[in-house]
Amino acid sequence: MRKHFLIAIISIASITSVHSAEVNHYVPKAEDNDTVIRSLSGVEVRAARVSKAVSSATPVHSIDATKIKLSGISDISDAMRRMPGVNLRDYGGAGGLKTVSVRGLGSQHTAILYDGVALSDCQSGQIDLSRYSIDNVSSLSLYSTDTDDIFIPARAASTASSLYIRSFTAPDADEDALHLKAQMKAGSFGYYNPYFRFSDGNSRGLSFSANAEFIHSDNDYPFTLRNGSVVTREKRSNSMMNVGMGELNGRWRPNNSSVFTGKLYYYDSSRDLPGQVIYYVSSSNEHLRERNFFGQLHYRNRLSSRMSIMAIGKFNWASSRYTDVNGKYPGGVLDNYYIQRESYLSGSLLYLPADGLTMDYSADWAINNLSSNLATDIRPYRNSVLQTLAVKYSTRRFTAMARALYSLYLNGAKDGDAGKNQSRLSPSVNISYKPFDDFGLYIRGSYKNIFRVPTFNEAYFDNYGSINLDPELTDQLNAGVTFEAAPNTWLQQLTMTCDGYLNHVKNKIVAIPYNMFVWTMTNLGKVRVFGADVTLSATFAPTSRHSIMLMGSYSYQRAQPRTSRDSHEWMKQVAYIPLNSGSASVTWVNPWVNTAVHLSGCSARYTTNTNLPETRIDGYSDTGVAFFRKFQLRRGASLEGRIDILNIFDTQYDIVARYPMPGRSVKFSIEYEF
Amino acid sequence: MKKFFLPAICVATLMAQALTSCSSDDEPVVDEPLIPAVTSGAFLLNQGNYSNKIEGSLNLLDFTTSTMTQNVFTTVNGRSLGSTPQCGVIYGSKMYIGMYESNTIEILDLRTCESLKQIRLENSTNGQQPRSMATDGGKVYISMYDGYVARLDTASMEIDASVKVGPNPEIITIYSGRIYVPNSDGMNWQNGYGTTASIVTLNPFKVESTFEVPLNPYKFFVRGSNLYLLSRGNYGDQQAAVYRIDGEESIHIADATMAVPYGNDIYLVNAPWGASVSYSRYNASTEQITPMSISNIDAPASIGIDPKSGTMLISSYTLENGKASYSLPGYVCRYDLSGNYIDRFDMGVGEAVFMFIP
Repeated sequence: MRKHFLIAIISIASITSVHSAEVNHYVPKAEDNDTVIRSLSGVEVRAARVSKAVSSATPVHSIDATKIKLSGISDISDAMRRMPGVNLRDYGGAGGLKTVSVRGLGSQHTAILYDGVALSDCQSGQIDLSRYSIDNVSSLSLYSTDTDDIFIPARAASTASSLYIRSFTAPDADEDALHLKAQMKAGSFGYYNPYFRFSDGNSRGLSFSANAEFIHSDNDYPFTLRNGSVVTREKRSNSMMNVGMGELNGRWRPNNSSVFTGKLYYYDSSRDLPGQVIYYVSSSNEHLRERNFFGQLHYRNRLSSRMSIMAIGKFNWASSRYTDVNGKYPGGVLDNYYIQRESYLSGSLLYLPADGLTMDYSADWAINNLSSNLATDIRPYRNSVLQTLAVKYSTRRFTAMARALYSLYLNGAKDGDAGKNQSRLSPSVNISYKPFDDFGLYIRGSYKNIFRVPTFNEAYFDNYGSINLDPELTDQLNAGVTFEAAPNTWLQQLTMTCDGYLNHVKNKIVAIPYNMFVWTMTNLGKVRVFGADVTLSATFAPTSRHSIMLMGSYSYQRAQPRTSRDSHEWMKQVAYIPLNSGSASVTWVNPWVNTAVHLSGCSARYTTNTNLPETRIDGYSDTGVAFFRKFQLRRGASLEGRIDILNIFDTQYDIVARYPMPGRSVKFSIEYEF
Repeated sequence: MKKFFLPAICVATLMAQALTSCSSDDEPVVDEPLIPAVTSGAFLLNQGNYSNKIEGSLNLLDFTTSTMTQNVFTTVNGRSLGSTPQCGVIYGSKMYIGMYESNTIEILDLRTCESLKQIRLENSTNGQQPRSMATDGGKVYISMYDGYVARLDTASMEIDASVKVGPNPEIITIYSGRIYVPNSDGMNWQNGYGTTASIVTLNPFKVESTFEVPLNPYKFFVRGSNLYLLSRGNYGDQQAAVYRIDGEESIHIADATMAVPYGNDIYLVNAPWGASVSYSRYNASTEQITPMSISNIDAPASIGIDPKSGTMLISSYTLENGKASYSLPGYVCRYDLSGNYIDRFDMGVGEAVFMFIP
């Protein structure tokens, strides 16, 4: 019973390359079923032997929970800055906003999908990654351009890049479904974080999991402030945070071919915001309360060997309340309260008309709205209708895929003038070729044309937004070579990827000032980005009890503003994008104490596109170490202890100017699991 | 014009050299002065750019030698002036500068530009976030954006009193023994702007009354024996304009976004959103407006006239892709009173504030 279902899943997964994490989840079992699957589907299954990073026709970089632990990653933002082509914006400390942008495009161009369903923020267009706990992540995958997965919701193909966060969800029902994990973390600057996860299932295909955690941190870390020739040691203040979040996941497999999964999510955070460091000012009264609830349901059914369907439904509610106490505000307090809601439906149909040929049609509909307590609120809303038609052809050594996305964005506002409606057809193609039968080398190429619509802030925010905005258009070209080998028992695995790319941005949405209080958004700007992403990972096993894991990435990003030749920014480097960035980690797995040393850093950046010398932010490198050991207890239970020393050299650096990052800090963690 | 000007520079340079050599004879070891001695010129504040993390700075322009010295404060004091200097005055032997975001007041020695005292306002109950300054009777009066006019004693260099005004007082002036305070209510822009002004008597230091003024009052100023007000409107259907205050009545003079008095005239700049810029001069006696032609300015940021020499300075943003950039260094041009261009100097980032040397 179970085996058949697994086969069904794996065959869908491998033929259609449904998200790699799904495959990874089953990897230990896949090899056993390899031949069975082959005879069933007639398509060779490679998922078990070749990593997606290598075989994918578009660049994808994944890391699973095991590797996250092994490489000394301490939170999601740390994981993100180890990925190539990623620019992390980190406002510092546990409570600081953390967003990512990819390959020189704005952060609004990156979709973040949580368990296969896009997270949305129609107001700002960017997702704060600090909301998602690394302890709950089973895998992270970054698609730097398009994805060569065909069986995906239309929305997942509607952005320039996408980050998939897979969480630990309900386990497959009847095998070892009963699990418990209890973990406590504590560390510098008043940080503590209890985490709890429980899962169980029954023989009727029903299972569930629940997890909850709480994070507290004072975050008042010291930093060095340079003011001309005066150097002082200061401390962040007003940065305390309390965050609680919980999830309930369910899974039901009524028969061999279909599966329902569902998730309820709640997040509640209360954060004091320390603000940017301003000379001669040390206090701040800013506070942010954010709440987010969503429920999502996912259904997949393999109707026949030639046809599968998938359906997704989601409702999302998010609120944010920003307050600042200062005599300059009316009534002495600024209190901005925003609520946004989203309802989302998606349906996908996968069809295999002939051997090696797959087709997908997906249609998505979403409605987003935003309301606030602002006097100028006009209650904007947006209907999005997205449809994709994709065709993929695969042989043993060659795959090619083409997708067309037709987007329709219909804007409205209950109490005012709405932004322009938009409709566009966006094509993308990708190919992968393996020149040799028995040599793990792949060549790939892809092109994607896509755009992003203005966020509600950009379109409607009073004294700032503009309803006349057009979408920001992007073109992405990528070419790469990948290689994977497992030459011998000593060098167990070697993976290399190397991609070069060229991106163009047109109609870039930028803010133009009128005076200090009144700005407006316009489509003004062209940017050309060319760069390279290189990754390397290797596992050495000199003896049976020791292994060494290496992971490294390097990115070059040349992001040139090209709006007009006589502008000051012409061909300079786009603000906040480093020319060089990279990361490396070495892990020594041994019978005593596993040890990981990791480093990430980047070269200098500027806060302005014109690269004024006084807006330069120095480059940095941040080194950390982790020590951890797992003790096996009776009856399959285990206890793991871990110490992370972050920024061990106490380097003072900023990722966002005037938001100093914490210096040396320590995190202890103890975890019980069965 | 230029012909006349060059010899003037030569003479000035020669004189400066003569002076230097004289003093070196008397004292063999002489520290090079960090800033030039200027008798005719102006100190200029660059506001910087808070969101792009660009600090404010202080420049010194010498009209005689036609030289601009940048970053005077940091050169002398080894530290930053702070974030967003928005106001400053020269009074007696001192210069007073208010930083809006850094929430400080720097008191400098006018000659050396050394900081005599930095007043941090962070925990002040006499008002915070300085917006404008006016002087009278040994006191500097400072409008504070959180709704106060504070009084700074120039001898003790302490804030000794304050009165509650507001909301969001802007640029004040002293007129017939009273401080006129425009309350813009700028932080309440989502509900429209304010329409009141406060009158504060100097002695006793208290609010005498408030009266109605045109929408979004920004700057009071005095010309001759008359009081004027620049109101900024709502950046929409209500245009920014200059009004003459007659009792409690506001009489419309001309649409303008910037205004500065000199002699019998008010010099006006009108740079409304999305429209072209115009310059003119309003004659208070004839009530005639004469258009002026001003060259070499891309996007005017501020205007000032030296009461001593009648030199007009106009600061400008630098254009980037055809629009004013708030994060690029700007420049300032010098004109005579007829609007004839004299010369141009590089400035720092942000709108310039002028403090003419008396």
